[in-house]
Formats: sequence, structure tokens, C-alpha cells
Amino acid sequence: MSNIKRALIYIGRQRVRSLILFGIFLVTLLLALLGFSVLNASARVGEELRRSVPGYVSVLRDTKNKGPSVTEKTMNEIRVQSGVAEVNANSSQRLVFPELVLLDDTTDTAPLAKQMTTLYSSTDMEKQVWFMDATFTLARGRMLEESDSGNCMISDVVSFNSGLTLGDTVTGYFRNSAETYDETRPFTWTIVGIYRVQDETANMTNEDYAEVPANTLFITHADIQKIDEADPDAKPGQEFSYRKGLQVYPVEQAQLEEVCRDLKEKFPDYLIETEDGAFEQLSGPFRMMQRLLKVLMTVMLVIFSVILILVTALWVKNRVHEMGIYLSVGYGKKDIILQLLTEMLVIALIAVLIAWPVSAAVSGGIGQSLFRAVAQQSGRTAADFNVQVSAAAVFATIGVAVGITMLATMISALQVLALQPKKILSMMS
Amino acid sequence: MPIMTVRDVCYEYIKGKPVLKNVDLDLEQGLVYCIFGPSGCGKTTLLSLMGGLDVPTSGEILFGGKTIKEIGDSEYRRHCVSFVFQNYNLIDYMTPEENVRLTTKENPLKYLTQVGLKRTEARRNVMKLSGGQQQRVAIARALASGAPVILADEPTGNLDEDTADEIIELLKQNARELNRCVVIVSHSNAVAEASDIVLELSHGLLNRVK
Ligand SMILES: Nc1ncnc2c1ncn2[C@@H]1O[C@H](COP(=O)(O)OP(=O)(O)OP(=O)(O)O)[C@@H](O)[C@H]1O
Ligand SMILES: [Mg+2]
Repeated sequence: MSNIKRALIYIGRQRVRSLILFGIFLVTLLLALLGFSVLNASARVGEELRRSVPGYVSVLRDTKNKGPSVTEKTMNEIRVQSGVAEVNANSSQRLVFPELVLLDDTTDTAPLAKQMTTLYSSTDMEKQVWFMDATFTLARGRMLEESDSGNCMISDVVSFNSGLTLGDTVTGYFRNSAETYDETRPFTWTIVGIYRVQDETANMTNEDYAEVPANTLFITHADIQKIDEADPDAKPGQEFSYRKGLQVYPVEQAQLEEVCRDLKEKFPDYLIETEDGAFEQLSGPFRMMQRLLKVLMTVMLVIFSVILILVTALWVKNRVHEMGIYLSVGYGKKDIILQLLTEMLVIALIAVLIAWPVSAAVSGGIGQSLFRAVAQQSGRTAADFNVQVSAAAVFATIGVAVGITMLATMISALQVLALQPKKILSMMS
Repeated sequence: MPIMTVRDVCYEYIKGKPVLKNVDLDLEQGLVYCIFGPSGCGKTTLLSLMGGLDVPTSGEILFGGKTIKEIGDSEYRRHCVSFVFQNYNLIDYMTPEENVRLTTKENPLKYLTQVGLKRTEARRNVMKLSGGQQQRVAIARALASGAPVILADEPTGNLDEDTADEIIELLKQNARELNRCVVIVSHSNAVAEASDIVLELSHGLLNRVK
């Protein structure tokens, strides 16, 4: 009788054992495949984040050493450097907004101090740091475009507190002194977008800016320039500068450091450094989860191996008499070991056939909810995000399971090799 | 020329306490041998050595002029001898049919009906059969293997007189018609009477009494 036939008869008749073994395989395979799908999903989320939250090289004026301003010229020079894909420029101004109810951000007790706020411009608003790291997300209206001269974006808190909504206008003035502002030169913007402050801590004073980010109004470079030109403090003929510097994006994210080094060399008068904090912050939990998952899966692998080896060894021990009979009617030890192996592999195969589709069905949902979690955190809408266990992961899992099964059988086979039919059979009589 | 030769075989489980002392025996095809002797005298031990389940402490067993080692353990057990164990030694998770199929590619029912098992009984789990029925499955398995030497340890121990007679007749028929050599360990007079050669094992020595 062939080894496969004997193995199938054994599996069919010794159902309790087969079921226990099947259960061990099924649980392990399911966990492994689900683990892989979560790993896969979080890797995909990481890639997605990398795409939407890229790292950049920041170029700022070196104020401490009274370095040159970051101007249009600087930007044009940097834009053509090799390895540079895109440059986003940022600038700012400050004005008094008497009608706005701003969040309290200053210890300055002068009457108008609490009505001053920052106007911020960015060539590409999506790349403005707070929008990029999702501190801010657009709540209503639309994002400000470069052509949006005369329009602005305001935070939901400030617009709500001030009783303003989309389509309303806000007006700012130069401050003359602690108590007065220049009413003769109003700057007016229409609200086209309202952003939401996702990160509650952003409502508090930000160290870098020494004010509450949520008080910021976003306008265009052109409007900043207009304010600059009207500024009574400005030196005549002074070139428009990007006070908040440049964000330089490399062609390849992997070249971030390299591009930074090159720029530092070629533009030694500026403060140049890499900025990857937004990505680090958003992807941190996922990298943590991936590490944890890898540890868990390794632990599981060890537990599974130990259980499988112990169970097989124990059962083979219980089957010594049966094996003595096989030997006595002329089956070789090789046949017995192959029968054992076949039994295990057939059960493993059935478990694979069940675990595979089940994990595939479940993993889609897992990937989706993982992505939704990131989307929520990063303020993005969860688009199609379908994560399947990759074929490679499935085959790796099956490969490892088969490997461990072989190992367990080989360890048990040592018992088989030591069998002496006379001893076994005479012990029973 | 004998098909099997037991030459000068000694065996001891414990050093200094031999169970078999210089046993010599020539077995011819076509004959039925009966070995008897008191319980614990070493009959099963002798049969195990002849069946290639164990090796003698000294001396040798030849099959067709070759030693078991030369033939190879598995090959010898599969094609040269077949064993009917005193305790049947059936695979407990198989049916009688499957147990017989372990030694043959032929239809097992042929052998199972020869030993008087019904078709329905042949498809039940062996452990659900009576002792006598199990014993007959063990005999069917041995006959089915087609090996020229059949070694049967108390094959009628659990059978009623009529069935026992039928089994002895069947074994004898195997010897005569299929030119097999049948060795039966038994205390029964009926077996001794039916055998061509009767041997007594006592104090480790084998003597021919018929
Ligand atoms: N595995 C063993 N280890 C040690 N002694 C054994 C072993 N098997 C058998 N013996 C001893 O060897 C002797 C012969 O045993 P054996 O089974 O060959 O007797 P037997 O003639 O077949 O007896 P019975 O008629 O009761 O079946 C006995 O004294 C027995 O106790
Ligand atoms: Mg005995």
C-alpha cells in the first residue's frame, strides 16, 4: 500500500488527532497571513505617507550672521540645481486686525498686541508645513491658489469666534504705535477657505513662531508683496523676500541628504538643513507597529515550531506499535517516515486552502481600517486602499510551515530510526 | 535443497541465560512444520529470528542460500517470509481489507473469504471484530503476501475447533498447492497431527518428534 494511501487512511480514521493538528496549522497560518497582510498594509500606508508627506531641504535666511535674504533670484538658482525637483517658497507679514477675535497668544499687554497676527503665503499651500503635517486641514471652501490675490484662508476657531464665514471679508492695517493703527491704508481679503486645526496643541503658542498657529491668515505672495511695498518701515527699493524661506524637494526622497549637502556647498550664506519631521511623526506609529508585529510573528513562529515538534514527537511515540507492524510486514523505515510526513503535509495543505482565502477576505478590511486610521490622523480622505497578502508572503508562509513540518517529522523520525521490530512487537505480546 | 536453514542459532535476552542453544533446522517447501513446547521456552523467539525481526546472538539463518542481511531486512520481511503473530498485530485504524492490502496488490476479499470472514466484516474497523476474527485477518494478511515461508505463532489459539480445523486445512493447502513452507507454533494435537514434521523445543534445544 502506498505511503499516501496509508497517510490518508490515518488522517481519515484518527480524526481527533487530525483535527488538533489541523487546528494548530490553521491558527498559525491565519495569524501568519494576517500578520503579513498588516505588515503589507502598514508598508503601503508608509509609502502613501511618503508620497503625500515628502521630506524637503529648508533654505532660510541666516539672520544671526545677517546673511542675504531669500529672494526670487535665490529660488531660481536653487530650482535648477541637479537633484532638485521642486521649490516651494514661503513668506509672511504681520498686520493688525481690529475686528478679529484671535486666540490669546501673547503676554504683551499693549492694547493692540492681541489684535496682531501673521499673514502667511506659500507658493503651494498643500506644501505649507502645517498643511503638510496635517496640523491644519481644509474644512470648508477651497485651498488658496497663487492667483488668489485678495482672498484668504482663516482658521475655523478664529472665524467662528469672530462671527465670520466663507465670503465674508477681513481687514488688516499697519500698526502705528502701541495703541493706534493706520486706518487710511486698509488691506482687505475675502475668505475663500476655512481650515480646521487638527492638532489641539496647535491652538497653543508655537515655540517656533512665538504665536498661536491657528491665528494665521493665509494669503498669496502677491498680497504679501503689496503689504511689503506699502510698509512704512521698509527701505525703499528693497527686493521682495521669502521670509519663511524655501522648501526644496529632491527628485528622489532617498537623495534628500545628498541634495542638502550640495546646496550647503553652493549656497554657504544661507541656513540649509533637511526637514523630514512631518513624515517621521506621522509614520512613527506605523514603524513601531511593524517592529512589534515582526517580533510577535517571530515569537509565534517559535511557539508554533515547539508545539508542532512536541505534538508530533509525542504522537509518534504513541504509534511505535503500529510502526513495528509496518516493519514486520516489510515496510522500510523510509516508508514510515514518508507516511508521517505525508500525513502532516496533507493536513497542512488543507489548512492552507482554508487560511488563504479567509485571510485574503479579512486582510482587505484590515488594510482599509489601518489606512482610515492614518487618513484620519493626517486629515486625508481614505480613498481606495485595498491591501492583499502578497503571493510572496503566502508562499513564504507555506514554505516556512512546510519547513517546520519537515523538521518536526525529521525529529520524530529519529525515534522511528531507533525502532526494533522484535522489541516492539514482543513487548505487546 | 531447503528454502530456509537455521544454522547453529543461539539467542539470549539476558547475558548468560540462553533461550535458544545451537538450534539447527532445515525447512523444505511444500511441508507443514509444527513446533511445540512449554510456555516461555522460546518458540516466539525462534520464529522472530526466522522472520527477520531480530538477529541471533550467534549462528545464522539462510534463505535460499543467502543470509537475511544479504537480502535486506525489508525485502526479506516483505517477500521471503510472512508472519502470523500470536497477538495478531493488526493496524488498529484500518479495516481487515486494508490490513490485508498492506501485503498484496490483489483483491483482499479473496483471502478474507478464504479464512471465513464476511464481506461486511471485512469493511469494519478491525478493533470491532472478535479475537477469533482478528486472528483470521492476521492469517489472511500472511497468506496474501505470497511469501514462500509462512510463520504462524499460535494461529488457532482463539478459534473454535471447527474453524481451527478449517484454518489448518487452509495452511496445509497453501503448502501443498502453492508449494509454501508453513511453520506453526502450536500446542494443539490437531495441528501436530496435520503437520508433516513435528518439533519440540525445550531447554533451548529443538528435537524432531515426528
Ligand atoms: N523482550 C524480552 N526481554 C527479555 N526476556 C524476554 C523477552 N521476550 C521474551 N523473553 C523471555 O524469553 C523466553 C522465551 O520467550 P518466548 O516469547 O519466545 O516464549 P514462548 O515459547 O513463545 O512462550 P508462549 O508459549 O507463552 O508464547 C521467556 O522466558 C521470556 O520471559
Ligand atoms: Mg509465544
